[in-house]
Amino acid sequence: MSDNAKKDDVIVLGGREFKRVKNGLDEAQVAPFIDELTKERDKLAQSQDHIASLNRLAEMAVVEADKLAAQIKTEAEEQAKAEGTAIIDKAKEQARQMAEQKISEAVEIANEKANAIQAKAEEEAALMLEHERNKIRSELHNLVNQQFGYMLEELESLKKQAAAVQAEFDNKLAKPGEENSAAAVEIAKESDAIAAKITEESDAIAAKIAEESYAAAAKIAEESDILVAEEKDTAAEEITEERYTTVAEQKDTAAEEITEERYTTVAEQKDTAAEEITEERYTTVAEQKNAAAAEIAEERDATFTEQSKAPVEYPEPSQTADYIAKSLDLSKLFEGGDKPDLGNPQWEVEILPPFDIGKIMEVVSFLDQLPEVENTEMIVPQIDMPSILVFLRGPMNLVDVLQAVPVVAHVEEATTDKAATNGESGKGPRKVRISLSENTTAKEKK
Amino acid sequence: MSNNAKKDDVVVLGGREFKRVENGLDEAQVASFIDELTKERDKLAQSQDHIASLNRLADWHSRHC
Repeated sequence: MSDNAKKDDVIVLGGREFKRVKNGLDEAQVAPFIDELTKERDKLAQSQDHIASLNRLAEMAVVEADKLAAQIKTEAEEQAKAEGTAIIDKAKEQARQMAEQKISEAVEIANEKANAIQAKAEEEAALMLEHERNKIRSELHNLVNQQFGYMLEELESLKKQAAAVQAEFDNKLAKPGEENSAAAVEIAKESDAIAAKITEESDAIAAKIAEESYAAAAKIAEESDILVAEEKDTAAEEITEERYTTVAEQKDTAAEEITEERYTTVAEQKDTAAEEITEERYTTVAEQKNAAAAEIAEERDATFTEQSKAPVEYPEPSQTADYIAKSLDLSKLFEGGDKPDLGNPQWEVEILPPFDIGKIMEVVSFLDQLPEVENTEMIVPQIDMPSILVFLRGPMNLVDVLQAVPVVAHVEEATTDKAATNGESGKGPRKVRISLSENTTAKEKK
Repeated sequence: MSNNAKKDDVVVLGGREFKRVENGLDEAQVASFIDELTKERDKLAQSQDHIASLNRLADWHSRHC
């Protein structure tokens, strides 16, 4: 309804004043129309306000939506970042596991190949060592035969000298008493000189054989080192090429292991070869020495037997006995083989390396000259060190005696061995270890 | 301006007929006021139509974009 306020000549319709005039418009019709128009306008205005508020609300919603979108975007970025990091970590872990697996497989393959190469190299090294060993053994055998021939020649020469001495002796025996005695003494001296010469030459030959054996062994060792080094270099190059794609640390580890094992194997093989060569050398030298000594002793005994059977005037008994005793001592010095049964030895003298045949024989000779010593026996075992068995006639402290020997540098008694007393049979001998001086004279030892 | 069509005893204002009576309202004032109200109403209606068009455009945009 309109808020009309009537006055006399003025009427208010829709908040507007209208004058009354003569012959004017009908108020009853105008008022509803104005009221209708006003309502429509108000309604549209209200709708406009509503739309404006909706716009403000929409703007606020847009702002909030922008904020929310920014927040969601930030959260999404963070979440994507975290998920991306997790995916990358997972991928890295998978890649690492795959790499480790591949590396382990490659290392396993490389190890198998390296083992095969190593086995092949060891086999070849063993074959080379065996070949070199046979070669040196053959050379050593030839050398020994050569030296043996040389010694035989020397013995032939000595035989001739002995025959000359015998002839001279026979000539002098035809002369009377004193001359014969003097001749016998002279012959004995000459025999001693010859025996000393034989001893000296035998020692020289033995020393020469020992030096040549040492030189041969050194040559074997050197050639073996060269061959093994070449083999090792070849194997190392092959291993390096085949393992090129694998991890360097694994390769180094495998190479070190291979090198260590190869060194160990080669060292063991070298030691074994050296031991065998040493054993062969000592066995050969001892056999040669024993054979030569036996032959000399036999010849000497035969010579003196013939001389003793000669139907001529004999020299003085004391001089003859002395002569025979010296000769027997000389032959006994070189005896190495058949000996009478003397029971158990009272002492065993173990000789520590380095060995020198001449000095060992000097020790044996020294012991044989002692009145308390019944006999000595040289033992050259296959593995252990050589030793001298001493058979005594009576009590004697061998440790003190050996300390007086010029070529002995050090003497010690092995206290852990079984106790034995002089002359007691059925128990093991007392053991004493000696080491020989490198370049010895009695003066230097003092 | 109003599209009034005058007859003898009837006046048309804003598309509506009004009778003339003795001691009635001033026709000029009533016509001016009706014209003003009509313009305001038309303007608001036009604005509302414009907003409605924008809404339809927004709906179409949201559906197709």
